[in-house]
Amino acid sequence: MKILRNISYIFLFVALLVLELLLGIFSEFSDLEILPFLILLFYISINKFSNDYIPAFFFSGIYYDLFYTSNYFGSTSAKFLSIGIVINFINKKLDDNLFSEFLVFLLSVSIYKFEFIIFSFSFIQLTIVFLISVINYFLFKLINITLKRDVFKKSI
Amino acid sequence: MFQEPQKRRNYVIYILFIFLSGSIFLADLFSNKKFSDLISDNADFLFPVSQEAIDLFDSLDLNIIKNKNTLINENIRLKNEVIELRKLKLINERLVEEIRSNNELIKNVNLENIIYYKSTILIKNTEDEYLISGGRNINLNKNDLILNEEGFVVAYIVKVFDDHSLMNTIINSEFSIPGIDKYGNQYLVTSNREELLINSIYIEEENLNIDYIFTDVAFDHIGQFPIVKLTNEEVSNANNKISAVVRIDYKFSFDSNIYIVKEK
Repeated sequence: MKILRNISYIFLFVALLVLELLLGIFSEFSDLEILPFLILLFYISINKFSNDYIPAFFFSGIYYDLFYTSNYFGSTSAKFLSIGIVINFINKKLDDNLFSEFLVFLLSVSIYKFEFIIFSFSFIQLTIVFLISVINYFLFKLINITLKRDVFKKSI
Repeated sequence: MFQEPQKRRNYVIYILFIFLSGSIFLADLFSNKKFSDLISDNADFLFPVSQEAIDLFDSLDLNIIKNKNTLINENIRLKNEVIELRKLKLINERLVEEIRSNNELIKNVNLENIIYYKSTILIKNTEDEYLISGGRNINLNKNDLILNEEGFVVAYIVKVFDDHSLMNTIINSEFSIPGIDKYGNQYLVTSNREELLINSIYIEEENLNIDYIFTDVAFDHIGQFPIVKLTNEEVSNANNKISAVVRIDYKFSFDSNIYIVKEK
């Protein structure tokens, strides 16, 4: 049962990764992107952090390296796992408020897009990363609120 | 009380998997990507994006989102067209000069043995690289050139799959292609995503009147195709090194007409 659950996590991660890439079609390659996969990584890292998600982190990275990039095999897996561990660690150390959470989200976007920042470092690129963080953090909060809402309690 | 040790144990397994990823990375690095190529060649069926799927998404996009924008853009375009017509006379004079220059370039391109495959952009990955249609099914190889509708080299292939390929474009910071000018001077053309940086690597004749820099068989390209036009650009010569910086105006989109150049 546990194996089945872990396999379903892998499928969920891969599906969201493909969805994120397909969303690029709608945005017509705009610099401001919606990153559902990163939102999932962030959500798991701060709310559901556990060993159960390690295969999903690992295999989604492997899958991405296989078909969508010229990166060396395993580099994206390491990036996804690093995001998970770094975000969880920092989030635990910081106060639980909106500003700290946004800073952590900004950090996760920076790690996620580190090639984008390092290879073409400029004020414009940093602004784009900040704007991507704002848009996606807003989406993360929306999803977070929706998932946390207890419908049965409210109706009573 | 048992929460913290449990969290630490989580971190340990995460770190172990990061090391596992690192080991795979090293195996791929030392095998010169043969390891990843072998796996991707045998698991290509897992790639879910086809041309049909992209067309479906694209048409949805057109119907739902683009209608209003299209109308606004069309209105602006019509207004601009009136202004543009007035400028046509001046442009015409400049084009006559350009045709003369292009004729010189065309002499160097052997069109008879070349076939152009029209390709389409499928997906952009998070490193701003593009996946395009066409792969081993049309005999593509690494480093095959990709031209835009004006015939300029805008990318080259870095990874080939069964029916799609990954290309490195002029808007990637890893873009790097050697080129030659009409005097036989050799250059390395690189990109910082916004500009193309042209630096000479071998000088045959010091002359700054460079019209085009183009690919050459000397660099294992299949022919001479223009990479960048320097006619109206500032070209400098310092310490026996010719260099120039050209702003990239080309934008990639799903409607981009791109052509893969292959030998017949």
